Amino acid sequence: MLVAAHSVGAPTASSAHPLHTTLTEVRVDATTHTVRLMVRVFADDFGTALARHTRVASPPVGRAWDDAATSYLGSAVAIADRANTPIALRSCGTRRTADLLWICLEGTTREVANEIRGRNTILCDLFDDQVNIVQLTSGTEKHSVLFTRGDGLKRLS
Amino acid sequence: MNSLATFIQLGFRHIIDVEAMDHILFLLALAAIYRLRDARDALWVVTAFTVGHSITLALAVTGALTLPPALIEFLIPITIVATGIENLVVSDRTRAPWGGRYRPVFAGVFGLVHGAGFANYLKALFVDHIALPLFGFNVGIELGQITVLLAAAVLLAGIDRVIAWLRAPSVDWPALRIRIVAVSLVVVVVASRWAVQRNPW
Repeated sequence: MLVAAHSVGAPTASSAHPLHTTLTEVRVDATTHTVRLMVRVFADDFGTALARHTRVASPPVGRAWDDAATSYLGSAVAIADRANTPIALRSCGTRRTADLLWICLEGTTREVANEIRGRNTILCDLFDDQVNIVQLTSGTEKHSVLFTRGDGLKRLS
Repeated sequence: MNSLATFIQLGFRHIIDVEAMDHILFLLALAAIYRLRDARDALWVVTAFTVGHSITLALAVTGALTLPPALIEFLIPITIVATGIENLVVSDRTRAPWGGRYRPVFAGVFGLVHGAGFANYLKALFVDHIALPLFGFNVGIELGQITVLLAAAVLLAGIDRVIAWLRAPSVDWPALRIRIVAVSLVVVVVASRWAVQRNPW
């Protein structure tokens, strides 16, 4: 379950020259066949995106925030295996540090995932210049892929 | 793509995007007084700006320097206004203090302000591993600045042509001075409006 309190009254980091970016770290556990994503997103922007997604004037709160976040993330974030079969993602918690939300999502693959595909268009509906970084950590190596508006699934590994 | 290339691309995109208009306008104000033959002088000024900008970005992101975001966002348009006014006031650079060679110094000082503008975002997002993002983002920004300056050179050359075409024979001002005044006035007006909008008090 997502934590609704994170959505309220997010302060802005700045308003003049914003860096419209999110960072998503992806880790694959070969023993449990688990794919875990940790999405870092500025809370104020995410709240605005949820409000827009649910067509309300201000960011939802409480249970409505959870529902809106689940629905929004479901439309903006996707992980698939080598055959492009979607991996269902569920929430594994949300926390907030200062202006930033840390949203955990995880899913289970049917096979050992030696090739993962992904898509992350969080906030691309909100900002023309949104750039989302997705980093797949494999051992000591990190592979990064950038996502912008209109992007589909891309190979992460 | 490796992570360094990712962050270089992020910094580059950040500067060339229209959302970064305050940064682009500052570079335009800096470049407004130069012609192609002054490329070396322009390079000194931009290098000084880069150095100042990199110093603050590194200090702020690593936590060695804490700056109130509202104040920084206010000071950024002030630096643009100051640069534009300097362009307007100094009509003969050979008679300016230090023969006009102070310009890299103030570009460096103003660079300190602009560098702090990005710092809050990078610090918040890459809180646990900042070195590589910081370096890559900075390299990307510098590459983006060079791109913006090249575009500015083309734009200014175009303005020169328009001035040469429109200027009445009775006008005494050299074409370069007319260009400097025209560009700087636009820059000052736009940046003044931003300064008022961002007034933290």
